[in-house]
Order: sequence, then structure tokens, then C-alpha cells
Amino acid sequence: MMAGLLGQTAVHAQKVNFTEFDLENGLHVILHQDKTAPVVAVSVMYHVGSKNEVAGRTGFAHFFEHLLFEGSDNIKRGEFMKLVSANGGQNNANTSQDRTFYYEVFPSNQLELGLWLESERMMHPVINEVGVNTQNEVVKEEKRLRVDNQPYAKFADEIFKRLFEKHPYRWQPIGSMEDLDAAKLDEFRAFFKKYYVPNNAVLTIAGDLDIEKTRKLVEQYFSAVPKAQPVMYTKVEEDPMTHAIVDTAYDPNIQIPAIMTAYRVPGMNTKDSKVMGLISSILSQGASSKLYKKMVDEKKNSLQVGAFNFALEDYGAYITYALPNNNTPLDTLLKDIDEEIKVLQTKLISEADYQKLLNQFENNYVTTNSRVLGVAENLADGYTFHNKNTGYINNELAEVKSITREDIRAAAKKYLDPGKRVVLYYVPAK
Amino acid sequence: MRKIILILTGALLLQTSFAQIDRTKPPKAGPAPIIKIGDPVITKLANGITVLVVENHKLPKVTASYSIDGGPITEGKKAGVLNLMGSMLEEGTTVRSKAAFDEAVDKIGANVGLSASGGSASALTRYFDTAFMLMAEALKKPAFKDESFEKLKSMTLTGMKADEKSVSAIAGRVTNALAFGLDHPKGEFQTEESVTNLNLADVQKAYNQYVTPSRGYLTFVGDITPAKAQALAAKAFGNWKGTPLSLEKIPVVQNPSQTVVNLVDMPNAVQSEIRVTNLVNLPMSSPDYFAVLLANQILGGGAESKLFMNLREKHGFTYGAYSSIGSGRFQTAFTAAAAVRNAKTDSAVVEFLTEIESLRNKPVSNEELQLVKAKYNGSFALGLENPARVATFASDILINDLPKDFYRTYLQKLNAVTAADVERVAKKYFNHDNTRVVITGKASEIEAGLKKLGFPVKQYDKYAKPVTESVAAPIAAADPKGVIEDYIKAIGGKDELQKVKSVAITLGMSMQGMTLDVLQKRLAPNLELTTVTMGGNVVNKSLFDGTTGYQEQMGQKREMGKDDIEEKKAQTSLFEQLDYLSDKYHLQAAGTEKVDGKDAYKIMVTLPNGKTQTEYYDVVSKLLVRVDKEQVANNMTVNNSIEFGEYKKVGNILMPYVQKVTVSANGQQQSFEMNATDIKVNEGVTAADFK
Repeated sequence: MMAGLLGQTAVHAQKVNFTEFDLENGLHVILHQDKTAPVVAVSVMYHVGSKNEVAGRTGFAHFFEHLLFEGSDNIKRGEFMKLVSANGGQNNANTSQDRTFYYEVFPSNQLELGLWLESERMMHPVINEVGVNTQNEVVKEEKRLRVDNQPYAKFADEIFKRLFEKHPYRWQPIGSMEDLDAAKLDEFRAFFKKYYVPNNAVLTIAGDLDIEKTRKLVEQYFSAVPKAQPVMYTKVEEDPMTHAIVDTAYDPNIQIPAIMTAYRVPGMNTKDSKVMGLISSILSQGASSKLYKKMVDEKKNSLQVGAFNFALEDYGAYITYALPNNNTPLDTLLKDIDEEIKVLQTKLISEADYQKLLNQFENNYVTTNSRVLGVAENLADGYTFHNKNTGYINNELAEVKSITREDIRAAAKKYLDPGKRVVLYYVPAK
Repeated sequence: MRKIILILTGALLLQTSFAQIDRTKPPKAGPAPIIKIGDPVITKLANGITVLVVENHKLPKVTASYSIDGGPITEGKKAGVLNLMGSMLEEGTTVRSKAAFDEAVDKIGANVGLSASGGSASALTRYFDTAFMLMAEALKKPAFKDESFEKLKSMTLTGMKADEKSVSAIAGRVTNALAFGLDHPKGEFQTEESVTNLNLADVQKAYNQYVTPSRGYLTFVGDITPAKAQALAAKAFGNWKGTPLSLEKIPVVQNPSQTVVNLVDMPNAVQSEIRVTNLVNLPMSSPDYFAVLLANQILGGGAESKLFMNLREKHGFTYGAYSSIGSGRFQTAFTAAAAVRNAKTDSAVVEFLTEIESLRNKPVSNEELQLVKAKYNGSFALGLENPARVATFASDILINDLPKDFYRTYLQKLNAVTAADVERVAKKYFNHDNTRVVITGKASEIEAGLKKLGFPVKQYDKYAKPVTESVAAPIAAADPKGVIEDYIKAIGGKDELQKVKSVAITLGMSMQGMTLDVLQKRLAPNLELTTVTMGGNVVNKSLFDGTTGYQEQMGQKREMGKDDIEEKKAQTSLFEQLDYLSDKYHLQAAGTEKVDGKDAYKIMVTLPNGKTQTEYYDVVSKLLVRVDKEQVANNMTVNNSIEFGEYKKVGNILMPYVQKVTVSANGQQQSFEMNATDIKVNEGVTAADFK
């Protein structure tokens, strides 16, 4: 009886409720009410990332993540962040290959301030030489700090430029500093006009709010933003890989080398993308996972080992890596990893391992919904990347549970083909 | 025309329908949200454990943590034992091996972690019991296996080595040691010696003494009822017995009677770490508590604060300058800190002291005060999104003996603070005339400037021990040729050195847990072969055969550059110092500097190709103790510094057996130590080796 009741609470607690509607200018709006704490998150997800850039002008989307804090017709330069902190809030933004996400988290009585800030940013941000020059320096400093100066931080660049030949995933969101230096102000303005428009954005507000009042406020602040041309995007199709690419990359910031492999896999809106996520857990989540237990705890030949599915909209990159311990040659590590993949391709995982997998997934999944900002991003992701299915987070667990052990074996076989991958010896530069 | 009018009307209409908002100004805030802070359900087990339960069914998940309120603990000669003991709790139990324990945790998708002062467990509601019992098992029945102990001890020692040249790590430990004293629990730190001397019995003893139900707080947060949680607590810990714990009596430490500068020399520093610090007593129950929080926020709490605006925005001395102040039952510290460019060290100290003094003597503006109040009000509200916050509030109240409504009236008390309060507490808690300025940096570049500030300047070493000023009068400027001649004499004399036709050195080096073997063969006049192997595989090879050379790494070969070939060719002897005395080289004395705590002559050597390097020769022993070189690779300047030590006789000459290499580029640094296991002179090398 007791257990039954608790079970019910649990199922109920996981469902995320929301209201959604479109403004006439095409802005999609999602509202989620959660009154447990006096906190509200206001976020805008623009469906633009580095894959919308063209070769020779890379780094634009990430550059806009910075540029759109420079102020607007009504917000003086340098005031944007000050307004947030002077009103007890926190804010930030981030950019991926596929989208850019801006947000503020405020005490709930500052909801309107958040709407004003985001609508100002969308409606008439200031894009001028001063801002471009300032942010150009800031972005360079960021690249020095986060990429050039960080051990192993160039791995993504090194892998993606080998795994993709034609698709814009071949460059990273941080882009090329030469491209940014060469870009003219008009080009930045044109990029803004094309992509940072209401019909290419999702406004998600989550937290301690009143749905009807918020709907009215959203209309007041955002309806005045003009509608723009529809955003056209055509996926660049890669030719299938026909052979393994084996190469060496050098990193001056490391002392211990690493061996990495990467496989091209389907994009995030596919069941197979989910399956690849599960395969990562089998291989490397937790101290009892296949690779960790074998290589770190038992053979002690690795300091670190991991596998993960870098899921993106058009394709994904399935990546494995290991750092040697006790002078182990990198080829030994590669062999150890490949052996475990071979097992996944030929044998079904045990029932016990399968249960472990589902439990780990569910635990992670529940945690991502623990804060209203996380809920806001999950809802916006569903709309943007899963066929406008805002409620995707409510089905995700069921979808994962529908994956069988046979699906896992089949996906391992189909995608983790040693004849069609990148093998990268990632070694210290002298 | 008509069309235009229509459009205009349309635009007007559009405007009127949204006339109620004024875009030109930020909207006004709504009424402040009512902040509700629930009370956890608090009970006590018979063995003394306090159990707190915060019921929150938002997510199907429960988190529990066990925390032992042991206060600061003096470790003395056993410094480091508590850390090790904490790590040992994660190495399996008497009923389950480490592998079985990990499997049990992962199987249910849970997280379980342990430390010397407690543990935590979180899991989906349906698996929480299991996760919780695993945490309890690890706390009550640790395996304490020898094998685990040795593994963790060597990892600790390796980790400490990596920090030996880290200026910020040294600054942190020395500042505490100087402020509190080396025999104080907040001043002591683990050393290579203390960790090396630890054994498993020490860990066992520390466990028996400090991991106990006494003064324990067990907190449950999440999808669980108080009744269920209390039953679990009783099941896991009800019968647990342990040593009664009482807080150590720690004497109060005095601040210096006048402002002093303590200087720690780190010759490799490119920035000085400045810490302006004084000790304070600030219990949370103090009537000054809220005013102090705000005063610190105004001074150095963030990027809008005075220190940041002055030292970074106005002067550009640093990437960031901040201050912080501790509070609670025990004596703690106020500290203002920044890492600044060497050349601006003394100027930065002046600005720190000026900002502190100004806060002590001038009331802050209403705008400044309102800004920091808004920040605190906001972050208090935002923090409540975390259900565990309520439990932290409750345990704070218990531990610090605070009134029950402390957090319910928190913002009210904070918002009542006035500008006069801020000034008053700044005077009381942020010292100016009796503070301690600890500088960790390159003494040769910053000491003179610091001495001009008018405060007594005292030098300490990396272990916070005073450095005795060299008794001798200032060392006379050296004649650079004389220094080189003395060195040649010291290692065996010109004649003996010229007899050396070949050298073969075998070195071992360990880097982040890996062991590399280096074999270096050299043949007069300038042939050189270096092979680095890892587990029998060659990972790096470099060769110069007298006319040309290359470097090979992981199968990639790079030919030697023209410049490097020239440099090599200029060498006519295995001991390059013999060449230094010829006209092709230029030598210049550059005073003295400390190397590894000892005075050394600094000599700038200009090579025939125009490149320069800096060499340091010990004033007393005359031996070469360090070489600094700059290299440009891939458009990046790389600084190499090699320290030489443990000179021993090989035949008739002295050779260094230890080489400490530090490579820095882009503000990043890596160091490693190479130890010679074998050095052969005039044997084991033939011309064929360089083919």
C-alpha cells in the first residue's frame, strides 16, 4: 500500500507540464509553472550555431553569444549584466554547433525585467565597431584560456576536422580568429538579421509564474519584434566513410598522451542516437563500467578511459579515449577498448547490465530536471530538435526503456566499425 | 499617398495597442516574493546522531549526507592522515571488495561518496534504501587494505610534487601558516615528509578517533517521509558505537602589532600572489554579521566591487582582485587577494591598503549599499531552489547555536544595515595598520620595490620557515669569466674535462604516474643522441651527428632547423663552458639570485648565433645550478629552466645526478625531475651510435 502510493507520487512528479503558443511574428513561447521556490528562469534558444556558418567566416554564432550583451537601443553599453546583478539575478549564454541559448535567472518578482532584457536583445541590439572590436578581444582571450592553454582541449577540433569532410561540423563553435578578424561589420549585421529573429527562436519561461499574466507580458514585450524571412537550412550530406583515418595530433599542454577514436553516428533526433548514449554508459559510466573496471582498476594500464556520444542535430560523433598509466603503449589501450566493443557487437549484454543501464539513465534524467533553468532548456530542446515536440522530456524515459538488448548489439555493430573511423594518437608536442 | 497614410495608421494602431509598456527604461520589480522556509523534522538517535529530514516530493529522488562536526583538528607530525583516511573509505569494506562495492552502487544508478568527515548517498527513490545502506557500510566497516593504502599514498605524493612549483598553491598554504602559525590546525599542511612517514596504523587510529556517531548530523532531503527516513537511520546507525568527540581547544592567535610584509621567494613566478590578511572572530550570532557580509561584498565580493574596479579596471595590474571573510565558531581570516604582474607588485599592495583604508574611514554611497543588498536578496531567493538549502539552514542553526528564526529574518536583518554600520565593521574587521601582507613571487624582481613601502619585509621559504639573511655582506659583483673559470675548476679542471671524449647518461623520470627512461649519449666535440623510452618503446629520439640532425616523436620526424645546427656546430667540447672563454661567446654578469634558497651568480651567455641563455653558478660551491633558455616553437615562446643538483664524482670529474626541468609557455607550467641512475665517462659510446 505504502509502496504503491510512493510509486504514484514518483510517476506524477516526473511529468513536466507546460503551455505553449506562437506569437504572430513566429516566436514560439513555452511557459512552465513551478512554485516551489520564488525563482524564475527566462531563456531564449535561437536555432543558430556554428553549422549555420560558412567556411571562411567561422565563429560567428559564438561571437554573437558575446556581442548580444553589448546593449540595445534602450540599454547602454555595459549595462546589460549590471542590470541583472543589481536586481539579484544571474545570467549567461552558450553556443553549440546547432543553437545558441541565452538566459537569466531572477527572483520571481523580476520576471518582467527578464522579458524586457531578452526582447531588447531580439528587437534592436547595438551592433557597432566598438562592440565588435571589444568582443573580438574577449573571444580571443576566451580561446587562449579555454582552448590554447588547456590540456586536451583541442581534441574536439582535431577529431571533428577528420571525421567530417563537407559538413560544417568540421569546425568548432569557437571558430577561427582569422575569420573573425577579417569579417566586416556589415557581415555581422547581416548574420543577425538572418538568424536572430523571432521565427527562429523559442522563448521559454519556467518557475514561479502566473501563466495568464506571463502570456500577456510576453505579448507586450515581444509582439513588436518584426517577423523576418524564414530561415533556410539544408543539411550537408557526408559521403559514407570508406576506410579508417589514422593520424597524430600534438598538444603542447599535456605530458601524458591519449588514444582516441571517433565514429560518425546518426543525429540526435533518432532512436539510434539514444542507443549510442546507452552504449557509452555500458562502457564507461561508473567504476564498475566495462572499460573503467578492466583498464583502470584491474589492468591498471589507464589513468582514465571514457566513451561518449557527442550528439548533434545532423550527425553525432561517437568518441572513445584512454590515457595510459605505467608506460602502456597507446596501441595496447586501443586493443583493450576495441575488444570490449567487439563483445558488444557479438554478444547481448546481460540482463543485470541492462537494468543497470536503465537505472543510470533514469537517475541522470531526473537530475537534469531539478532546477527550473534545466527544465526550460529541456523544453526548448524538445521543440527545437525533436519535431516541435516540446513534451519530449516526458517521453524520453519511455523511449529509452523501449530500447532492447538486441538494439544495442545491432547499433554497436552498425556504427562502431573499425574500418570506418578516425583513430587519433593525441600526443604531447615538444 | 493613400497607401502611406494607411501604413502610418497601422503603425500607430500597433503602437497604441502596446502603449502600456515603456521600453526606454527597465520595468519595475513586482512585490518581493514571500520567502517560505520550511523546517526540517529533527530527531536524535540514542548514540547522539542528529537526524534532519526535509521532505520534498518534486523529484523521485532522495539524497542523504552524514557529517561529523569535529571542528578544526591538529594533525601535527601526521599531517595528511585525515585526507588519506577519507580516501581509504572508498576502497571497499570488510564484507565487499572495492569492485563489488562499485558494482552495487552503479547497478542502481546511484552516487555514493565518503570522506574523513562523513559521506553522502543519492539515488532514485526506489533504490535509495540500498544506496543509503552502502554508504553506512563504507563508514562503519572500511576494509583498510595495505594495497589500497600504498596506492593512495603514492598518488598523494605524486600530486604534491606537481604543486611544488605552483605559485598559487604555495601562496595558499604559506599565507595560512604565517597567519595562524605552523602548529595551528588551520596553519599546518601536509609535506612530503609527513605523508611518507604515514602508515596504515595511523589511518586506522584516525578512523577510530574521528569517524564516530558523536557530534554527527544525518540529513535526508527529497522524496521520503520523516518516518521512513528515521527508520532507515535507526537501521543503519542505531547500534553504531564510536569514540566521543569534543572540539579541540585552540588558543586565539594574535594579528601582527604593525603591518608587515612577508615575502616568499619563488624564482619561477611570472606573477606575484598577494594576500592581505588578518584574523577575525565573527560568530554568525554576532550583531555585526550582516554588516560584515555587505562590507566585504562592497570591497571585494565581485566584479563590481572596489578592489576589482581599482586593480583590474583602473590599473590593469591583474585579471581579478577579490576579498573574502570567514565566519563561525572558530577564529578565521579576512583576506584580500590578487595575482599581479611582477613589476606592479608594490603598487598593487598600496592600492589594496588604500581601498581598505577608504572603506574604514568613508561611508559608502547609498547606491553602492543598495546594489550589494540586491545581490544578496537575489542570491538568497535563488538558493532556495535547492531543497537541501533548508537542511543547511537548520544544521547551521544547531551547530552555531542561532535563534530559530535566523534564516526567516535573514533578509530583514540584512536590509537593515546602514552605511554607518558598514564603516564601523570595516574598521573592526578589515585591518590596515596591523595587517599581514603575504607576497609569493620572484624576490629578485619585487623585493626592492616592497622594501620602499615602509613596512618591515621578512623572507620565508615555501614551508613558512623564516629565511635567515645571509650573514656575509652583499656579494661582490662577479667577473663573469672568473665565474666560468671557477666552475671549470670545481668540476675537475680544464685538463680533465678535455680528456672526456664521451659521456653516456641513463636517467629515469616520473611524470604524473608514468616512468620514462632517458638515455643520452654524447661524443666530442658535439655529437648527441637522446632516446626517451616508455615501457621499452621509443617515444622520442633526437640526434645530431656533427653536421645535421632530427627529432622523431611517435613516428613523426622533424629535421633540425638551421639555427639549431649552427648552435650545435659552434660547440667544440662536451663541456660548453670551455668554449665560453673564447671570443665567439659573450658573457655578462647580472648580479646574484637565489636558486633553491642559495645565492648564485647570474650570468647571461650570448651564443655565437646571437641567442642568449641565463646560467646560475652557486656562490659557494661554484657549481652550475640552473640554466634558463627561451625557445620559439609554433609561434609560441617556451621557457625552459633546468636546475642541476647532487653533483657526484665520475672518474675525475663532477657530474649532476639530478635535473629538475620546468617548461612554461602561455602562462602554463609543467615540471618534472630526472634522476641519473648511471653515468659513464669515456665508455659505452662509439661513433656508430650517431649514424
